[in-house]
Amino acid sequence: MRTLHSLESDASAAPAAPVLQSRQHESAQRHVSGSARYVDDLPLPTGTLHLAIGMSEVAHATLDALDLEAVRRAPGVVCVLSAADIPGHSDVGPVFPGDPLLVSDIISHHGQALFVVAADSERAARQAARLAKVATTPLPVCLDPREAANRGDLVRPTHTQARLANGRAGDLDSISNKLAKSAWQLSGELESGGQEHFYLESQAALALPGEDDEMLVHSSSQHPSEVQKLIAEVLGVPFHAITVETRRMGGGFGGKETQAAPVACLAAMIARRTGRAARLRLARADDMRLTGKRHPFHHRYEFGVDDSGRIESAIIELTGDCGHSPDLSDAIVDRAMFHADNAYYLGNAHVRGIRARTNVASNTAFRGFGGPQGMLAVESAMEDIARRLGRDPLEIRKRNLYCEGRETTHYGQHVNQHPLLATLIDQLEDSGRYWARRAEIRAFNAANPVVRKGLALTPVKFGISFTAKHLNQAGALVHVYTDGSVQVNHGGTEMGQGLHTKITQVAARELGLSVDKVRITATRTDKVPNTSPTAASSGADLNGMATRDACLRLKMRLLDFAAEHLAQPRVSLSLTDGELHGPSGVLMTWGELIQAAYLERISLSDKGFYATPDIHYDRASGTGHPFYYYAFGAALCEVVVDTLSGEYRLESAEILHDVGDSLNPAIDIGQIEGGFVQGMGWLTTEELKWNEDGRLLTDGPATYKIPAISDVPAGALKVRLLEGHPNSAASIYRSKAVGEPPFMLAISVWAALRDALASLTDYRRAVRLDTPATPERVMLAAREQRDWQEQHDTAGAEPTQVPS
Amino acid sequence: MIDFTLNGRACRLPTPAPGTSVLEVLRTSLGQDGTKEGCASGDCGACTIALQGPGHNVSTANACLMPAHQLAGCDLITVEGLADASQAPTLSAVQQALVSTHASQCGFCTPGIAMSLAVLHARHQRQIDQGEVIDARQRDTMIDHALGGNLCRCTGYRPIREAAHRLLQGEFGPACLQDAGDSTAEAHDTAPDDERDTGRFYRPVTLQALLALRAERSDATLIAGGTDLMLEHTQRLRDFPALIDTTQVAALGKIEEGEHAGQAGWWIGAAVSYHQLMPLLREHYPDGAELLTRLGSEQIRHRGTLGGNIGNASPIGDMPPLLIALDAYIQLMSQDNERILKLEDYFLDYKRTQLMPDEIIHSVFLPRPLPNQRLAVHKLSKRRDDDISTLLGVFAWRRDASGRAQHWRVAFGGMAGVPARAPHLEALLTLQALESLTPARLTAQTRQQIEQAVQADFSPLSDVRGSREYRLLAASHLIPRVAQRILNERQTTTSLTPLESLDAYLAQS
Repeated sequence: MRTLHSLESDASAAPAAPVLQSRQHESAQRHVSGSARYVDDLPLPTGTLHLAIGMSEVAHATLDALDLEAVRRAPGVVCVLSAADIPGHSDVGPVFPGDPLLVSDIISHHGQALFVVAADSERAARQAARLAKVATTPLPVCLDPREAANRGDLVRPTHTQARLANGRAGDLDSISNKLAKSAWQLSGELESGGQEHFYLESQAALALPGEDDEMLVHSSSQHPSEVQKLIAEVLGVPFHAITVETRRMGGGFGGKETQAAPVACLAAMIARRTGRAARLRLARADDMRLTGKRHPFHHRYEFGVDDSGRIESAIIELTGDCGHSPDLSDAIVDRAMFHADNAYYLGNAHVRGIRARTNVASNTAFRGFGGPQGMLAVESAMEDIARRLGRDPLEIRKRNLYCEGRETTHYGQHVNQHPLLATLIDQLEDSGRYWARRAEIRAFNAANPVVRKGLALTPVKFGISFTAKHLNQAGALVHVYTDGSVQVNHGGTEMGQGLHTKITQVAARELGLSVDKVRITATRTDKVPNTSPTAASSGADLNGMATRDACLRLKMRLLDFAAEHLAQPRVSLSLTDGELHGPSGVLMTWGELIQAAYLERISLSDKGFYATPDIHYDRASGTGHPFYYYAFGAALCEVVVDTLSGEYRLESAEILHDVGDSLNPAIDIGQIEGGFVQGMGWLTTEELKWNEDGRLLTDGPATYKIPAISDVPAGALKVRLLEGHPNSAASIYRSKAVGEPPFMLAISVWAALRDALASLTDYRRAVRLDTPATPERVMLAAREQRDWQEQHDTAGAEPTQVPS
Repeated sequence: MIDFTLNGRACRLPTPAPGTSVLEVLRTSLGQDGTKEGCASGDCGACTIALQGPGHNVSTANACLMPAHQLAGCDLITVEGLADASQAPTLSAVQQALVSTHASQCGFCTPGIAMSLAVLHARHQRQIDQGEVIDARQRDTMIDHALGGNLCRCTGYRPIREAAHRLLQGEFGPACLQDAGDSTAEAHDTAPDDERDTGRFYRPVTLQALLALRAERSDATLIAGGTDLMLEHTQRLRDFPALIDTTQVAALGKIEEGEHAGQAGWWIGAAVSYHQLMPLLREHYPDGAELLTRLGSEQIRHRGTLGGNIGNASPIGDMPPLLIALDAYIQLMSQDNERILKLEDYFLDYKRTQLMPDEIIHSVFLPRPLPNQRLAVHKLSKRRDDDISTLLGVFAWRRDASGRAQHWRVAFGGMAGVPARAPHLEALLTLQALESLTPARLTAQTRQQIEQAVQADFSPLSDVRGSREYRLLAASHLIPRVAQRILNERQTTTSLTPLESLDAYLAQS
């Protein structure tokens, strides 16, 4: 540039510390005014084509013939492509093969993509997509993961972690023998249902063809680099021809980690074939039928317990319903296994994870990534033990927490900061008046045959890091422009979790600027390459460190320059409050420094990189240190249940959660509240149902019920951050990841429902309560409890005759 | 052409195909992308808009379910119109409230939430201006009702509720929309019929014209609020050959006092919305009004009509069981005939009714409650807000001179292919002493009798909302609930009086 920008307004910047502050979301003003753009809102070039997917109406069959004549002849249709038209790779499986972009021979789930239609309007494309004539020969449909497991139909091999309390390797026999020697043996099983992500913005992509083989694709994706890779492979072009951009998503929750790619690949295929821009946005029902969900699990457990309720041995078998292909199921069932202990020391432990294949959409990442499912068995057992031994479930939970001398997991990792578990529970027990409320609830329940209350206090321990080691890396790119404004780009994506806000705060802090000087732009594969998905709660941990690295490099260079330029001792210089400070005070403003550096030909741009240290896991032995650290939390919940109808309501949820030193308390509290309520939905009203032919019946919000506002009554949800306990691992400013861990705090709601149901047996019997615990399941469980109570009525006790 | 105002500016829209939604025209031809599509089925609220017109108060609607033709003569406000760009601060009160409370995360539901809150704010302000005193608890109820149809997947709603409270308490200044209040003046504009017959979307203003169209156009479908019918367009992708809009016919939009079969009551026009019906039910059938607050969402209640709820003949509509239990009648009309049926005789079989192809539903006769008449309405659904009933039980009875509950009329939805009465349960309730039916006194034998009566009355199916087993048991469990409720109402309740239901608990807590 020939002249520099005038800096008069620059000195006004006078920020306070930009991290550890509740800054508003970087897009908040755009959200509320409707100007925040999502993929479907982007202005379209003339001639843009609108796409729809032709989907299978059967769940398992050979595809004998696909007659698309009527589709091609439909009004407005421009192009129809099927598997034979794919120029490059046809399998878009993210880790292992098994996910055909379009089916060529075997249909393996209802709703699977068979072909793609491009038309001049979205409605024309969608209407045309229904006109195909599909000839198929049916194959047996399997919807039951246990049946598949019994037949040995697995998407990946079974993995086992077996370890004796003394630290040595164990096996099923040795651990069974030990378990049999405990004073008490308990066993149980449980089914947990899946969960639809129900991001409010459905999957969407807009492909803009460039010159030759180049293409820019806007994708609502948590993993732009993988979308880039898969598009390049599908089109048979080098990766450098494809650029993927993600400005923001209207929610992700794991549902756009792998599931966004096929949508983008189809748009890219049409754009390549026609040379026209192509947009594909899934209608809600199509999205729900086509894309994977949280894995349903079958849980089987046996525990050996001593007289005090302390677990001595555990055998846990977790069968994940993976759907028709591996997708990310290997890592998801692994994470379920890594969390089979939740916050408790298992002693001699045998944990087995089975990956069953069924004819439903391939189940995929969803907040917690198998962790929530993994915890259910041991949390179910906590109440079973309490009822069997006649003790309060809280007492049993506290007795089993990781503690001094019992601090190594069943996969051999030492639990750093484990005393925080007891700290969290003790504080909540106190502040939530657990024992006083327990007495009040017993009195209430004694006076009410129909309406019953339940209470539960449950902990969460969640391991932070990708269990696939190579994903624990991140890059960032920081530019300073000559007006002093800073543009930051990093590998993470914004799905509402406030990542860009936190990264802005990191950059501002490192450069000593106010956050309004820093702008984060859309995530693009041509700015930071080869990135990892924004997943595993790792967004701020990884990208925050990479951004910090880039900023530190820039800062060093600027200070080196300033020392020389101003002839000041280097050690005395610092950048704070938008100014360069030296031994005698302010030397120049940030803008003046930048312009001086520019004129002296100092580079004003740098990149940063980060790789998480100290993580490893040995699959052969089932041991290692897969997590950089653990995040902890605890929740105390009270529910009220109508035991004749099964209706219930959350009365209160008090949450205390560990985020280390918070990067942004408002955003962290938002993650905790949102995660908790989403977890509550998973465990209560969010019920997926398929018919016997494998068709998803709950394919829209009319039948699939996520929590609504009155499910979180006024004043019911109280969240506090645990203060004064920075992360013991050297994470970004000693903060902790917060995206996933709070999801599992909702287990306290389910435990409180079981507590209310236990009251029907004078707290003598724990009832199996599969999830989601819909009003129907709660009513049927209440009936089971009443039947038991009638048969086991103790003599002399006042009979409570109630309908069952 | 369709003439209306969009955020205060005159707008003229080329006539689209019948069934085209407001959301489709906003996001395509009008280029207004702030209004989002989350589901296109009226269940998520991301596309919430506000409508205002002379003589009727500002209200929300799901843009995905509203036919664009019905915009004619309306003032449409979208999220882009909340703030006055010429004013500082550039955000309106509702927008400032949402920003200040960190109430948006991914932001996709936020425009819809801003619209619902803006309308709530305007309504709340009018009530305050009229001298009403609204406490925190009432505010919470208003907030629940206003936002029950706006799903948020990110925040868990706590900050949204906080934004709403602080907004209503005036912290961010006055409402950005004005609520004129309902007026008795007819809102219909006076354009002649022929100018409305554009694009095969007919908007007759006289009953005669409506009946003539109904007779002539056998290919046309009747539409009122469109809250159910529009799913044919958005989900099943059906193109309507023609639609006949009943909402401009004055006679169908009225509630009038009258008499039928020797009873005093009200003739309620088929195009009366749930929202319009609310004050009447509040005054005379409060339990019915409570049910209305759980029918759909505020957006749906503003648009959906009584005639639509009956006309679609769904076995799970919430109004028919209520009206059947209250002994309501239905008035059907064609060009050369008019007939009045008991509503319970109107439904023949699953989605099949007495309505002939040339007939319309003109109105419903709702009898005035008799002295000592009581009503209990129990809706069971998976979720409390904005959910379709798994089953709905409505119990109406009268107390005789000795205080006994007699003259039972019991009707259920969700238990059969049609909403229907439960004669065996009615007989059982008439014969059994209420005390013997309460949860604490119920014997195994009585319990069995109740279950047998339910099975004699109904043979429900298993579906996505609940199993046959659950429906049968849950229906039978409503008997002890109602019995306990009647006894509880007779005596002064104390902390020792057992509560009969979750609703009773919530009411007293």
